[in-house]
Amino acid sequence: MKSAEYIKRLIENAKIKINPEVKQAALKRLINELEQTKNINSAKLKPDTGRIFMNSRIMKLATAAIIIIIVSVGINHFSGPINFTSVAWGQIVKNIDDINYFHYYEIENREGSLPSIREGWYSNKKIKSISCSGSQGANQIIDDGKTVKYFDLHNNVTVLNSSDIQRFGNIYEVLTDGLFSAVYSQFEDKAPTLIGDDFLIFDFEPPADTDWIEKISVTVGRNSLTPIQIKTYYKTEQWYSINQLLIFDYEEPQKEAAFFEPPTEIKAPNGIGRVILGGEEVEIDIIDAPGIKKAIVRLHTKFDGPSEDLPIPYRDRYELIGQPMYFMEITFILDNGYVSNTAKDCPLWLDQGVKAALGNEEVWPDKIYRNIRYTPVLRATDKQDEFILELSCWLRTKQPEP
Amino acid sequence: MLEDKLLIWKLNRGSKEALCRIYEKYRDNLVRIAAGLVNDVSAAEDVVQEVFLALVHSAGKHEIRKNLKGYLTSCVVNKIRNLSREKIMLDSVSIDEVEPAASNLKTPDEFLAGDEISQKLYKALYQLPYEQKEAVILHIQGKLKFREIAEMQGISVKTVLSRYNYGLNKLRALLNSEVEK
Repeated sequence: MKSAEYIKRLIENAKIKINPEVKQAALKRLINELEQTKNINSAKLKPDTGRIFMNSRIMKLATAAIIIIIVSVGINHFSGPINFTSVAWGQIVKNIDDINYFHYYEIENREGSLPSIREGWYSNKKIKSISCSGSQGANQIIDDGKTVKYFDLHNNVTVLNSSDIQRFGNIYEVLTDGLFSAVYSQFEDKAPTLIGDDFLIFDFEPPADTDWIEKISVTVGRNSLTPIQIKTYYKTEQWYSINQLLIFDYEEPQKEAAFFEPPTEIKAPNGIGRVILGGEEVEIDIIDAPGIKKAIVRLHTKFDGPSEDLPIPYRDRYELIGQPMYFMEITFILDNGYVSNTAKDCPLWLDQGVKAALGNEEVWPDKIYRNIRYTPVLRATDKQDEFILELSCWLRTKQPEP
Repeated sequence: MLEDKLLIWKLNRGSKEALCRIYEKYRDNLVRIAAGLVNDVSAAEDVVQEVFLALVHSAGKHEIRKNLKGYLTSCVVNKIRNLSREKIMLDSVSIDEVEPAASNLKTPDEFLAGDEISQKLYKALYQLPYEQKEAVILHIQGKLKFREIAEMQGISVKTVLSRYNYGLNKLRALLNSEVEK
């Protein structure tokens, strides 16, 4: 007799035949519809109400933290008598345009994943940032003003897109993923909500339809009139109400141009296998990747059609590389025997990596967070449909690293 | 959940990337839910496509108070209920009936399941009364809480629980008899 639990699992794991071509065609139709939809409202921002969030304990703590940080940063770029009660946001916006170099930290809480901490440098329309989250997921991102490249721990390029700076036009926009312009374009006459000895704080109401954001707060050096912190506060019951904290440091000596060059030395992958397009599954033994034992892969599709037939995230890169791309199915097996979920259509390029990940709390029988970061790279052989697949992979957990 | 709110915010500004992400994130499971309810993958795909089209057409106006997944699921369920009212495709059979009420419908194994065990499951689901099937699928596949299903169906949580338990027991009976054959 099958138990109710068995039936539940059966329903949870029930498979249906999904036709990927139908799926992609349907998505294409939706995108066309979206493009034709003319009634998209532009961001409706509320007028300034100048709220000061000094009532909550969290805000008091956050303010105390700001004071400590500001004292340590101690910016003194500009001098001269200024009546700070009349300093308007518009003046700061003008200063921002003149900034050509700074060093920054970005701390971000991510739902369902590990918090992200990155250290970065901006110099004359170039950005380089490095993950500070430890070896389990460290990587570099370099935006040279033309393209943005993500590198994994083995220095494989895993993401290649057109430049974020080019797309957003402004480093602060890049770092806040487009929120910053919505703020500063609407508040040219805004006065500070808090004036400290060394800093000014400007609190902004979020755009009207971003009801999950409590506010966006910009801390500005009192002398420099440049941003030294940008904080985005999310509405949440949890103690960390700041979702993203950006800390800017304008005092670090400017890095040489070579610092922004991409890394060149590529390290050996953790597993290598020979795969045939349309062939059988292949087992690849994984070495030197603690916790991961094997990967099972199957190369199933080659794509060389028009880019608009591809899912949007791949189009940019497909056009930039100008080569066919491939898709494979991949599953990992851990040292303890746990089997990951399967990525059905993991994209691949020849001689280029792909940023990919599998797994969260839900995937594993013990419901403990594990995330496999992996980079597959396809290499050509002398046979047309036969390839060498190189896999670099890392198991990320919420346990402290040894 | 926060990612969903960000996605809706971006979709409201016409972001194709946000649309793709929402689509990739929820489409397959919505099709699975719809397919379980209407016993037909193509019909399920049509229903889900219509829900996404409605989402796209109202881009700029969304103000989703509950979670996006729950919102999309309830849109799919409502769409199927409307279709059933029009007697187009809903296959609701009594608990004792074995054959589908509508003779022009395909049997589940012709169109639905990706493997043998799923075929058996869908065959069994096919024979559940619609309300029980809905409670079972929405709770297990849709991961909706009984309270959410009750709100969606306009009934009490107790009734949802009762439909769910009847449905699950009926499925157990059907699947066990399948094994004994």
